[in-house]
Amino acid sequence: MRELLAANLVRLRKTGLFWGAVLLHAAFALFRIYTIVDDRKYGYETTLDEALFTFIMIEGLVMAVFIAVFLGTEYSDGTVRNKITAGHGRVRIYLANLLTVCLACLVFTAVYLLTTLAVGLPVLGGLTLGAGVIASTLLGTLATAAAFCSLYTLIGMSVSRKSTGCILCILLFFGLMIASTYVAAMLDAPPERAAMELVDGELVTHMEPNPKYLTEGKRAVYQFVLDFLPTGQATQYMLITDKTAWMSLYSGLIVLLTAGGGLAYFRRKDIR
Amino acid sequence: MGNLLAAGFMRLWKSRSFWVSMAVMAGVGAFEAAYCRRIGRIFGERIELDQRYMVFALMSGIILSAFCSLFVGSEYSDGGIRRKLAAGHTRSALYLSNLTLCVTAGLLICLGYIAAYLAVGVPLLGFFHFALSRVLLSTLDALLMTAALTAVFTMLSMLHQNKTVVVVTAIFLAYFLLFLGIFLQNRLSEPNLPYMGDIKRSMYQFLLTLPGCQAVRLAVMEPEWTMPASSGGVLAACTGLGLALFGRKDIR
Repeated sequence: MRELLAANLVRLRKTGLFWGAVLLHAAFALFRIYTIVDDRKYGYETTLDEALFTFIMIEGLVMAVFIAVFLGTEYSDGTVRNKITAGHGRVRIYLANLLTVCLACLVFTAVYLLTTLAVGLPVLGGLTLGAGVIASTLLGTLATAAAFCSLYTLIGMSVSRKSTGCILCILLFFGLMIASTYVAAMLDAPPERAAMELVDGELVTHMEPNPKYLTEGKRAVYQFVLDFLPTGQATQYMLITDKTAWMSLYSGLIVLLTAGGGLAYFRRKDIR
Repeated sequence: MGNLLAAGFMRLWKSRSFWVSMAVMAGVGAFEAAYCRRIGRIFGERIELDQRYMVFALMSGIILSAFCSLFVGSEYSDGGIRRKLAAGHTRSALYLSNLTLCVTAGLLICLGYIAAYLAVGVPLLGFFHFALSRVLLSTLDALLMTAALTAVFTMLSMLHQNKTVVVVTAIFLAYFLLFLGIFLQNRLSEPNLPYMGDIKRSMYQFLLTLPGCQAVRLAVMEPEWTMPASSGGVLAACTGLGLALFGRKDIR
């Protein structure tokens, strides 16, 4: 497996897409700091802490493209077939690829954080959150990123065509994002809504119970869905949550299920 | 060009990406109609057939971005384009036949949604509440918008041989236009509209007429003459530009 990882890392270093993603993360960090500076001009007290975890919003999309292309190239270049012919086990090939893309994601995160701190600390001042909160939230976001990586690796290793893999990964990301936006909107529905009726020829507004307000049982289900979906987790990390432990557990579960499913399929897949 | 079209239609009927796109749109159409009925029952509201009828306008760009890039991109990777040029077909005939095929596929895919939605929706929800003229006009506008978007994706696919680059660019463009439309519609609906500068408001209104962005207005059946005009303009411009650039392209 060490040989497989070493070969993957050499390929990673030589891939233009990898360095493009590194630059993109650095640029995004600078853009985020700019938006905070802009917020402060309008009187908002936005702190540097809010910039620290914004990377998770784009990570899902960037890794969708990156992983689909990186793993798809292995199929189109015949690298997967060569590795199998050279005697490497399919399980090791799959796990080495999963580890490689997770490492790439780690590098992107590190670039984002270093840029944010290097530019943000002198421009915006210090962090206000405690070290413990920052550390636990960071670990949580990395777990979410790992869940994204595992989902896309399942697709990238199962679909031989790079373009089809790209379409599926990107559509999956947007599908998850739309689903979590919908669930979050349902959770945000207020308990009462304004209704108008005609009383003695005049329009009168009164408050009535909102039928779209989620009752306790349904609220728990919707909240679970939001906590489980990686895109839902990303949204919550933007607001600094106290559910980091549970969401990390769900991300771990997603990694296990998708890696297990991907491995099972890849072992039987006909590699041409 | 007749031969190219005949061969192209044969390829289209056998194309997996076409039938998957058709199945997805028809599936969503049937689901939307059934879901309307369910939501109506849960919240005790009367949901009309009009409400989700135009959802295909929101989806067609995204579905077709994937379809066009795969359908046309396969011709490059299979060597089909080079073979057809070697057989004596002109570049403009090749471009226009692919454009015709993709636009036809796009319209059929939209009609797939409409057919499934009406087949499930009319028995469950009754007929349209809005005037039929408004429904028909919105449908025609949406189909023209779909044709315009298809022209954009066909142009991208014909001008770049790398299928992966085209797929990523086309899908991102489709989503960008849709989200831009949502953003512009929200901004123009804000109560502080009178305080938005005239130039900014005009620019937002102009951008909202672009194919992809206008889907947000079409989804609530608010057609205006600017939308088909914009779609027609984009269709013509992309076709003209695509033809000109494809004529000069080095085909490998």
